Amino acid sequence: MPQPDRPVRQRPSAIPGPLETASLFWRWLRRMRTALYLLGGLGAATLLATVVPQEPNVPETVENWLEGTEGPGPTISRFLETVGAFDVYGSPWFTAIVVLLFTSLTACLIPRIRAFVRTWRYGQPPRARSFSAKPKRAYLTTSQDPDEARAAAREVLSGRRFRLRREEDAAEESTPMRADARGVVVPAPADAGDTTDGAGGGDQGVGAVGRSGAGVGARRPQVAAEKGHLLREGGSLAFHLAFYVILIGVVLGQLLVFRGQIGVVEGESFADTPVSYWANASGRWWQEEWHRDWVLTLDSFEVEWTETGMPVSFISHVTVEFPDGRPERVADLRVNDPLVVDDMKIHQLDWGWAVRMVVTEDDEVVYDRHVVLTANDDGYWEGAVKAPAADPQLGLDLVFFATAPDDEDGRPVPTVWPAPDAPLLLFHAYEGDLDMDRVQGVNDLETAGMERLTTTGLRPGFEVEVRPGTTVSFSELSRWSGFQVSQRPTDPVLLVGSVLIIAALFPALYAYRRRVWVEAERDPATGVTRVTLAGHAFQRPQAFDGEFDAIVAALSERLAAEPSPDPDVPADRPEVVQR
Amino acid sequence: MTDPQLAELSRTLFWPWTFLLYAGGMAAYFYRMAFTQVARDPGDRSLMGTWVGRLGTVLIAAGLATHLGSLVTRAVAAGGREPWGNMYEYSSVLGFGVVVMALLLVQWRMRRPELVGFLLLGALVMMGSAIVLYTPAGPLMPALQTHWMKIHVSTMAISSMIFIVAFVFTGLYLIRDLAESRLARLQDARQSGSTVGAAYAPPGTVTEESGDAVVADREDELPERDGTAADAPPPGDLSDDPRAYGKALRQAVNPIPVALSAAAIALAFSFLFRSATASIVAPLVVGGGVFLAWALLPSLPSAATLDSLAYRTIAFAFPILTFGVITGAIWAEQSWGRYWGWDPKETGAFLTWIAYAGYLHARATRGLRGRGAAGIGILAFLILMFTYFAVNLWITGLHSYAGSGADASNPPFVGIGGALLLYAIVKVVSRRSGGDRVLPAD
Repeated sequence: MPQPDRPVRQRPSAIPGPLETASLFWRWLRRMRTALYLLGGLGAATLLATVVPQEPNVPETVENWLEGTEGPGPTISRFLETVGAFDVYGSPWFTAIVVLLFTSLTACLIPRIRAFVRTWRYGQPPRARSFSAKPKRAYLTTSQDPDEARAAAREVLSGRRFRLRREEDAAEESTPMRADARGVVVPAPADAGDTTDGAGGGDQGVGAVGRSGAGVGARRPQVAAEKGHLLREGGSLAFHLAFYVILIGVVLGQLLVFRGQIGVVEGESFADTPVSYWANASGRWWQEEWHRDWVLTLDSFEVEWTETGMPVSFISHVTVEFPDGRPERVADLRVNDPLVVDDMKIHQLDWGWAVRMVVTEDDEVVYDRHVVLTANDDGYWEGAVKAPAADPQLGLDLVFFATAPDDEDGRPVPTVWPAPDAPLLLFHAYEGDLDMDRVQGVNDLETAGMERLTTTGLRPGFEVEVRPGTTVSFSELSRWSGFQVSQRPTDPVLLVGSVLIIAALFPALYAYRRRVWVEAERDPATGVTRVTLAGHAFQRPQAFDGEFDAIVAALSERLAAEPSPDPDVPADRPEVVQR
Repeated sequence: MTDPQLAELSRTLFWPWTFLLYAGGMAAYFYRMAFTQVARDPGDRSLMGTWVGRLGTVLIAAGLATHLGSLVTRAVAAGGREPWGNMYEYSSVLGFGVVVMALLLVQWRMRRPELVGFLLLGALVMMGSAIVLYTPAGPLMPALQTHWMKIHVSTMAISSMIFIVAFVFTGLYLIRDLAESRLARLQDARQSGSTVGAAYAPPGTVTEESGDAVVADREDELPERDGTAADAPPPGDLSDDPRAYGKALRQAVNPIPVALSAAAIALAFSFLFRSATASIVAPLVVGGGVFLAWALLPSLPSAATLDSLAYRTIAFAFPILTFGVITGAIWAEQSWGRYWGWDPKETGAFLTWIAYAGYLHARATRGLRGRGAAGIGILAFLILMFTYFAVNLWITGLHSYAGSGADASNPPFVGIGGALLLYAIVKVVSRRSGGDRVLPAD
């Protein structure tokens, strides 16, 4: 829910023209709050997609919701369908959120990148107007003269990779560095566009000593140094820019992807051709001629179970042959261990039982095929036999139990035990019109135009006569393995983006911007030089505490200096002596 | 010993032994705190310098030992695999991590023993969910048998346990900040109108840890907090007497509505367990925790300290979460042939990531830092818990194997939970639109 635009509120009477509207919109997009709303919108959309079933993933559940057999009822479901809630990620409004989010990101990043480059090239740490306002201070006395003290400070700081303010700038009050005026006391907020007003730059190693302040005010020579800003801001920018890399990877991936699913029965093969997949989805830019035409044979499929019936391993032993005469490859395919063939990845995704069914009519084989069975939610397997060559046409509705041992009376008792200890195939046999002209699922038997002959059961190797002259035999039990074949050439792009995200997060979160100022002045009364240090960390002050102390110690050592109390503070409040 | 015996030993070590040792340690910490009416300086170890405090530490250390024993025996009993293969084990590991951090980081390194009791409470709630979700020991299913399981799940577990710690800090911050700002307002009202602003930080004052400058929006409701005085009470009438300041903090807040609303959120959430015990215990514990935090307000660190602790904790966990999400995507690519499929668990991880990213951004946004950001931090943690419990227990997806077999679908409770989440979002959003920015009456 976006806030009313502040600029509009400022000029309530004016009706903005189209250009103004565009500029207001752009300014609205640049606000961090807008970005947060859009992120929230994206979150809400994905939350919706978690709670509401998504058509591309679970079409059956969506159908049940629309029919009212599941979910909140048909009325609400129809409303959900109208607003695209069943396919959130394919809906126009989801795309709109993503586009707006990236536009907002761009709008935020452009001024930040420009400021970053400006700071990188020309930026100068600002002078401190008042040391007493700084959270960290230290005072030293030394016998060396002030110029030497400042030179030593510059060396200590540049040795610690601080960026130093150019020494001649100390006298050039007119240099238009806004940060001189305001960046000192009030640090720029992290909002876009405000962060980098000339702060943080400075060429290292230039000159040593400042001049006394002619010009506006009494400008004492001062060493000003800054560290951490470019790293932190650069990390933050790189982190955000990484999302463009991810976006490019995702969009290109969508266009170039190929994904196909295929189930192969033990001993059988399939070729990587456009027509051989059970189901496939490819991106707009995927070309059919990119198929490689290799042939994969499933030599055998292994599955093991624990004593409690939990599967512990699935292994597909496969052989891949190539049409161009390369030597064949023999490999084992496991879950989590895909096989890469010519840049295509083959994943072990699914498995099931396959029964070889033979239908004989008057000693003539009219059907001999492996029927691929699919798992049912209730722990048994389903499939269908369609024998249009039989006369009249014959259909079998199959139900398979891996374990159905006989009880004392010799009757089989079906169980959900997954291992094939006592396989049993039950089926209804139908005769009539299979209606093969209609498009129907491989395992769905259309029985409307058919008449049921019998219902019976078979163990492997047995046969039964379903009508005079027609026998059905369950000749062999084997397994099929389900593979996903995919090619997505853009995955390395995503990997690069991910690595960039992680790598950039560390400086963006943990690098901290801090400034140190040093002044040195000879005390006319005693002749000793008083060196004053001040420090300020914009983030992580504790980490800066130790660093500041180390800088003070290093400078103190170089100047053979003594610590001295804060002249501005009464002696009974020694709080300026830093820990 | 055979595996079933080992598994049984592991279970006994977990409940009752570890549980009771932690609970005893927690009670000792709270008991000791109840007699410390003053916020301590960081580094002051007096809280532990008594026999009750030491007893608490010993109990917790003993609990850690039995907990470690429980995890190791469980790993052996399950066939020598890593002990985070289902929700029972994962919750147990989370509790273990929180207690380790409480003892090693918070007490010994940061010297904040006054926070340990509350962290233990968080760990105990998480471990309570483990008791409810107990699953017998067994090997992993094939999809989980990979090195990515070790990398991805352990990364997610580490980030989650740090987020639990951050959530405790955030919750304590909200209560303490509520008390501090109300007290400041009360003091203002008592003083004459002309001194408004006298007690507040000048522009540019740097808060202790976050280091971000106190921005203008907050000046009207916050007492002074600068680097050196972060743990000291704000200046004013009460600053000379910390004991009176602590008492005044307590009087400034009415604990009942605060505890009740926290308990209501916990109640809505506990429905996801589909367990009557959980629905009774969770709100009681959360409401009780809030009540305890109120009672121990005087000995809590200042709101500024708690806020920056929470921020630093979340900033620490966020890259770990990011890494976890990325390894999850890589694993998904290995296992299912696609790096991202908007599976409910993936969506939940994405939501959690967005919410914590939102928190980090809110901290850098004028008008949202402080309580607004903390609200987002709480919301982010609720999403994390939603992703963990709800997605596993009642949303069927590819990650369903992580569940404990509890059956799914609980629409009315989903509605309640959703409504509460929505309420929290609206609350956070409306707060920053200025509703809470009460200026002192003039």
